[in-house]
Amino acid sequence: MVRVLLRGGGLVVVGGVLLVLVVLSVGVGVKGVSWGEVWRALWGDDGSYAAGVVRELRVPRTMVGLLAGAALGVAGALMQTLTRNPLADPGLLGVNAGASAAVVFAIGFLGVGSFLSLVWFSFAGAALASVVVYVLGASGRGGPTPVRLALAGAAVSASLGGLIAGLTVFDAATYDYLRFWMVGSLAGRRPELVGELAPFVGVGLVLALLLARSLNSLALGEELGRGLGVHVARTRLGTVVAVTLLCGAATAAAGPIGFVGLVIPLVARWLAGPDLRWSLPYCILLAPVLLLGADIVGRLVLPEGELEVGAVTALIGAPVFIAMVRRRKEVSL
Amino acid sequence: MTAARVSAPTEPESASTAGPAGSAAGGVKAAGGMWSLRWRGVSMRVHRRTAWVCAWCLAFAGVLLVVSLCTGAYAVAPAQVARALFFGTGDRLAVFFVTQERLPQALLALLVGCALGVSGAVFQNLSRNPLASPDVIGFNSGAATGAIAVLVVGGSSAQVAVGAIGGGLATAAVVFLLASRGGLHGVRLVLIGLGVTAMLGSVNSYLLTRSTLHNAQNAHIWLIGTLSGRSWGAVQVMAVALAVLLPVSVVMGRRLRMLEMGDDLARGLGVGVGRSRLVLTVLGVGLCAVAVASAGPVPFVALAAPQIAMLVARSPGVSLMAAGASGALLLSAAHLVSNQVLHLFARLQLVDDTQQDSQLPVGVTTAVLGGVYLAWVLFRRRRTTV
Repeated sequence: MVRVLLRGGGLVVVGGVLLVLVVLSVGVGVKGVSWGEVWRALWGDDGSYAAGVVRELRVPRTMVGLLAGAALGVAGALMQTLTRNPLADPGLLGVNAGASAAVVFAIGFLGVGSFLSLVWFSFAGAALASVVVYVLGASGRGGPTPVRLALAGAAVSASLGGLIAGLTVFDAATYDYLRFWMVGSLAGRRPELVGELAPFVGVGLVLALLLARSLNSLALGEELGRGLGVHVARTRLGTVVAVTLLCGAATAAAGPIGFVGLVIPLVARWLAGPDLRWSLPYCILLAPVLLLGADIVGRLVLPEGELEVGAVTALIGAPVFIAMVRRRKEVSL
Repeated sequence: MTAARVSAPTEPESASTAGPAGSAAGGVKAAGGMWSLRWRGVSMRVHRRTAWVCAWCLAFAGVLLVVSLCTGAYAVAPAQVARALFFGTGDRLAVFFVTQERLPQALLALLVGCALGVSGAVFQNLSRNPLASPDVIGFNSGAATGAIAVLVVGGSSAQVAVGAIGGGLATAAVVFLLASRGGLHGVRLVLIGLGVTAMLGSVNSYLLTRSTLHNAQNAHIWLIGTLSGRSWGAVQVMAVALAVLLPVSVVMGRRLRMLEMGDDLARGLGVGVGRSRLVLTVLGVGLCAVAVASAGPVPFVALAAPQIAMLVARSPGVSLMAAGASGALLLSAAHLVSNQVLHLFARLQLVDDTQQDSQLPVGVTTAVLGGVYLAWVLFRRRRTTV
């Protein structure tokens, strides 16, 4: 009972922090807009400069940050549980490599010239790569075992990464695009993007929460999970689908942002314990806290211009993470 | 939640695949898939199939080395190669290409591959995680930061190597200091390495977006890993480093076996756990450092070589020597393919003719080939669980 209260209370605290960050994310920025103007702009578009900044730039940016953050955090937790490997990150299924390869292909061969039209390419690339990884990983007798999935992911990621590197060595223009896409950013997203990506993230999150119970049992080992009535193959397939939806959407929206999906699940597990029904909600709230916090800092830290969120997440998150690791007496994965 | 174990389930050795079976002459005794070597009171048990894998890998790598001496943009007949090598006579262009470009680069591929393979095996054993590579303690990303910082201001290749080693060692030292509270704990080391790696990754991608395209492109090529433009100096450095570090790793390989059984059991067997782990980590970092300084952070060799060696040798754990041999073979093959593939690209008009003379970075090939090979191994072994 006390544990439930503690966990629930922790969730409320994290939710409060997230709320503060959402407010800051809408209210703070390079363009000087007062809080009063922000408030008015939120309730109606009066055609003013402030309304343009808030409605066209900051609100979409904040929403994309919320969606992408939650998606990355949960995708990471699923991936680590599925492969039973705490070093697994959502990119391990080949999602990031697939998305990057599609972006390079779109720019280099199809001449797609703007970031915004790349979204669907990267989503398609991510989906395709993770299907290949799953088929390869599931081809064994025992179905998609953790180690096979991890190795298949490493194989596909490496091959695609090599292809990308090979193509960009000889194509400076494509590399020029790629190096900016690779950093990961929330800035300059179309307002419509939020509506387009929300369904994918929504379905992924619901699927993840539905799978939490089965994954809990499966984490005890395949035999024990089966004994507890879990349909092993179906659970694993569902998890891969969820990771693809979540991570593909996040990568398409913001580029391959690292660290969040790797570390947030570990932190969530320390705070909430190994039960996914608790740690997934923590991930959903903690990951956007990191992403939005990093985005806000990135807007303020430079005297001129902004720092991309992908360059800031780890700079902020890693020291906190390292301090947490050092404070714990018995570190277990 | 426990980390996935490195070791595959031991399979009973079938007599038909085990090479010359039965009692061998001298101090070699075969039993249970192992050879016991005895010589003046020193005895050693060698996993039979692993020894064969080592021998085959090195033999193949030797063949590839010879082939790579003969082929390239300027083809040289084997007889001419021999003459150029042993007497330094014949076509002057051929002598130059063979002795000053192809031989040092092919040797460097062998040595760097070996170093990366052993280093990867050390870290995969230490962290008991098949996804671990020297990068888990942040070495590669620190080296990359050092190198990019030098490249962004336009430094020479020797300065880049120094920057890479400096950055890598500094990072490894920081990770160690942060992790060493209350003894060197394997898991804590990995987690802190992850954090530091992620931070440096951010710095790297930031530096790349803020430099000129030309400098970023140079850094990009270095980051892929390349052997082009390397000469005898790099080979000498690598050879000396390996001559020192490989014997140490043979000795320490046995400690690894014991550490694999768990800290408590190893302690019970008289192994100084903390000190062994420190020595092994320094060994892994050292091997990785010299490799990265000579060829850049060539991807995938450190990750895949130990796993491939283990899958082929069907040994119960990762053997350092087999990992080194398979790493050497992997990188030699990748080097050969890299040299050929650009002509193919030019013929298919994927790159324009002016770029024919430049080399494809070997890292491109290791990633693609290694990935495809690993996928193939996985597919072929679909009847087993791993």
